[in-house]
Amino acid sequence: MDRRAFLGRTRPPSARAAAPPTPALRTAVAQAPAVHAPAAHAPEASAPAVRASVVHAHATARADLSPVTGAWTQDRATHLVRRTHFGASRADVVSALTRGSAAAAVDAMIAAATSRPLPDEPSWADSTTSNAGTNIERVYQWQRGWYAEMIDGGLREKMLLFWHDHFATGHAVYYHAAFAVDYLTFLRERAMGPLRPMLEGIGKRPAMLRFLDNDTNRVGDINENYAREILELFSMGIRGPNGQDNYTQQDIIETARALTGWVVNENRIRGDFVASRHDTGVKTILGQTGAWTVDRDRDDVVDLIFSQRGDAVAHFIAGKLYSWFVHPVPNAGVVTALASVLRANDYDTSVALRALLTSAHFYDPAVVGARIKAPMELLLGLTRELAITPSQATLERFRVASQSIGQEVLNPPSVEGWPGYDDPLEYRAWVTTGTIPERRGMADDAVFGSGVFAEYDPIPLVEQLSDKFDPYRIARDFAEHFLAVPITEAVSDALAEQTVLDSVPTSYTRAERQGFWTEIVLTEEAVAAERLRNLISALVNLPEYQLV
Amino acid sequence: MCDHHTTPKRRAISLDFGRDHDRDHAAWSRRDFLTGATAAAAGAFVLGTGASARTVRAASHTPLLRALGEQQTDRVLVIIQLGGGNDGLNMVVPYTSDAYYRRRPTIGQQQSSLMMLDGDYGLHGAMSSLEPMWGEGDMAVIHSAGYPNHSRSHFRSTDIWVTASNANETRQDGWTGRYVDRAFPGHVNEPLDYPVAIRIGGASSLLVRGSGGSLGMSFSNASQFDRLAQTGQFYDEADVPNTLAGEELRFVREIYNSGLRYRDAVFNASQSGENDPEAGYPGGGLASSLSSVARLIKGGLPSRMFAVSIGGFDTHSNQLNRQPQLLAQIADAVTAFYADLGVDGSRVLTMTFSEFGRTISQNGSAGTDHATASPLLVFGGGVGGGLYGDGPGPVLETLANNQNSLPTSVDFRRVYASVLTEWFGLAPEDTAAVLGGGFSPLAGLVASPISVSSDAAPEAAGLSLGPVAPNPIAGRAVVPFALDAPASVSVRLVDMQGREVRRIAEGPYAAGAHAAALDTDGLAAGVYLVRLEAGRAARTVTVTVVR
Repeated sequence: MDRRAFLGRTRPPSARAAAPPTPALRTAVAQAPAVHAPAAHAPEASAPAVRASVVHAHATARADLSPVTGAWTQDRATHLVRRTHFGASRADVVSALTRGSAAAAVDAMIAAATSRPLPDEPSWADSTTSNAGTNIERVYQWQRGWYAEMIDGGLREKMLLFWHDHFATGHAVYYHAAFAVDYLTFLRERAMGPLRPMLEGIGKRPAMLRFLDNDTNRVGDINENYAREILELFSMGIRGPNGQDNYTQQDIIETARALTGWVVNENRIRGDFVASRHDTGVKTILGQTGAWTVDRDRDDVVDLIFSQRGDAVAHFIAGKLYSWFVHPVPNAGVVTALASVLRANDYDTSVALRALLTSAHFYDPAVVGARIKAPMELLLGLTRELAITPSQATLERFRVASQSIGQEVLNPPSVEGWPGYDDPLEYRAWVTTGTIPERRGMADDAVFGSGVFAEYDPIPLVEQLSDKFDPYRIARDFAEHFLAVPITEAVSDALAEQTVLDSVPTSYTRAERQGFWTEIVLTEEAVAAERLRNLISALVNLPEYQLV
Repeated sequence: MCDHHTTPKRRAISLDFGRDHDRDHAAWSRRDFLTGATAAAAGAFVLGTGASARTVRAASHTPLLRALGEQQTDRVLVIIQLGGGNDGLNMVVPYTSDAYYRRRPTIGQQQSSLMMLDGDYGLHGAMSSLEPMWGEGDMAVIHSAGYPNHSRSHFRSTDIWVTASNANETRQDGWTGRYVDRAFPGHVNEPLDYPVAIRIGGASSLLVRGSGGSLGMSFSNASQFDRLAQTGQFYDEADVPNTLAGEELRFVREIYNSGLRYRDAVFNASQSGENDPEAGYPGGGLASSLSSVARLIKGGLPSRMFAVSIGGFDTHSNQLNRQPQLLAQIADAVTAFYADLGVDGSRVLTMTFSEFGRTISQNGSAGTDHATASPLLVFGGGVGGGLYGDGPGPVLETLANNQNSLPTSVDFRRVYASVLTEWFGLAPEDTAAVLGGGFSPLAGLVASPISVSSDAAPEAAGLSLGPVAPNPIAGRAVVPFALDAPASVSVRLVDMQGREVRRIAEGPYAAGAHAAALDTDGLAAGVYLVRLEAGRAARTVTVTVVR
């Protein structure tokens, strides 16, 4: 209802993690993949009539996973890169385009993501510190390192952020920077693979054990926090595709009993199983009765999740992938088809992504540009679009900005992750009158070289993208490069006239204007560069730039 | 001479948010948000209620108080940029010069067609609608304005004019922006709630840039302004595709619109200002832009400067087919603009400029080519009507046929000096800082100069105000004031952004003590200024409104 609630929620991450959220909100989130509900109350925004047209427009996109046909165009390649990376660098677009087809481009991206080496771990990765100042500096260093890796790391890092949003933990709760390294590296090694190893392992990492209190869960004194979330948020959701509840409160209690015995080993940065803390009794989970155990060798809970609720898991994960890569309001037909792919392929991330990213639905013009950029896409996308290599100071600026505009990685607002990705009620919360000036300001600073940014030289980009002597073509090509939502030629012409052609006599013919601009390019390169920066600034300040 | 240490970047388009001001000073701070968004939203977000937000803001507003103290004027400058290089010799015609007719055998304007200015010069006949203004003394002609080593490049020379720089110097802030830096010393840290400058159409973006970034709002054309005036939307929320992407775009535009710093001020002024339907605006973009400006001025928007433009003056060929229509548009639009402004016309000064004049001789295509100095026109009730500077007639007779450009008679920065020092009342040393020094005002160009010393607000000996009682004010209060001599008085309640929120007293008052009633019902709690103005004298006291 009130988007301010979202920003408020970014501050105390522990609150939601420690205390279960209200049932109503949780229900809405958990149902997201199952229902094709429009965003019912995008705050401050839209009248019911507007909402209705979302459904209508959405219905025009193909509601299955039939493969995309037709030419593999620059528009499509750019869309693919924008959605699978953090912004579209020219190099990545060219690379995707030269693969010749969506399937080949996606295969190449998946191959690169799967084979990409892990970044170096920091020197302190194997040790914790009791010095709070040292610890938080380490966290910041690891965050900056991740931002740098996101810029270069393509689809793997996008999927890593996906899994971080999914298996959310926050350093403000688990505290140790070394836990953050362990947690992220665990997911990074598995981000392109099947779900099962992640679901088995994530609960045994110190970060998760602390974040959801399973390190305090022991026989005779159970804590059901992790048990609830492994069912509700990490695997199946509250309700399945058939509309039935996936589990009961009793299932949660019994699952918690099976999960007893794990503690955090702070010296070794790992979870340890302590048999004496484990409840060895008989439990009934999801209708199955046995002495269910999760120890170092067995994971009966994950076995039961897949064996008893496989459809629900597939549907839940499919919905989440859809909301990340297509639109936060799921399309029931596509989600169902994607769930089948997951089910048939051992819940493998890469196989599902391939099906989604090569579908006609993914390239439907109705969904291109239909997501509001997450802060990471905005901040890091700009550096990729401009081909800027960020300095450490720039990465630090990103880190501070990411807090300010609502996406501090390794510290999501709650165990549900960020509502901007997949909460059908709050997905527009990234954009508010409070975040827009900062979202726009970062873009301008990068273009004009303010603060931590060096002054940007736009000439190489013009030479890569366009004909540097044709002012109208530059505006058109830049618009295609920077904006996921097309602007008309009249608008791009007007932008050219207000920027690169500023003060050109209006009586000039097009040829005369081109001559005027050519004269500037040839004789006053500094002026030409400044005028091009003005053009880029104009483009990235358009509302269209907020969409991807 | 000084001030060249600042060469801020141009940010041509992102003017609407005005966010450049504050961001560089406190990146990512909460205050950023406070100043970056509308006051109401900021109050609700940061401090819980609008009233408490206002109180907090008021407490930190000393720079603005100073600005209010220093700046006593409601005067406005309108700049009309004539893009392309206007042929001044056919606008202000030296009809007694044989050389003029000899060198322009087919495009020279015959004396009989002209609107007479004096015994040697006449205005192009297409501009004859200006005759009443000229007759009233509300129009001035500055002969041969330019600068040494004149550039003949469109963009270089335009930059020189709008930055008031030397020909060999590159600056990236406009002279108008530097004026604002001087006149509103607090504006960088405490941006105003209204745009100091507004640009409609294709005038140079440098005209609305100061050292701290944007000064105001840019509309790409009059119809974009009209949309804001009619709907409150800077970005069109209706014209989006009927797709999911269109829905999201509409939403983002809504947020952009609601976050625009100056939207409320401009929208409100455009709502309360009305164009006079009898004003007689002609067609064309210039007239549309000027009618928008008139609406804002009449609606009480306190903006100091408006920049508009008309293009098409680059008449290399068949000049007679093009220039007269453009000149007629200027004359007819300006005449209608002042008819529309009515009494407000006395506080609005309008000046034209063009990047350069054109060659003395016509070329082989019945046109003229790029050259140097050219006349500019100044309009308004505050103008000393007449001709300024040395006209081109005598010098034309001395120039050889291969000397094809006019020498400068009046450095254009002297016109700016008149505007700054005498029209806006900027202290001479501040004017020197803005323009680089050495440029004296043109005597008499501004008929009613303001003189303000640099360090003290003008205070009238025979004027007193207050104390307002009660203070703090919970409802009604009495505002006492006294005059030594009869005067036309205005007493207003002004908020900390300089906006008038109540008119307390207005009109002629006799000498002696008076009392006016102030009703604060409906005002947000916070600090306000009670401002007494009598002629050029003023007094200000602060009051606190409580609820």
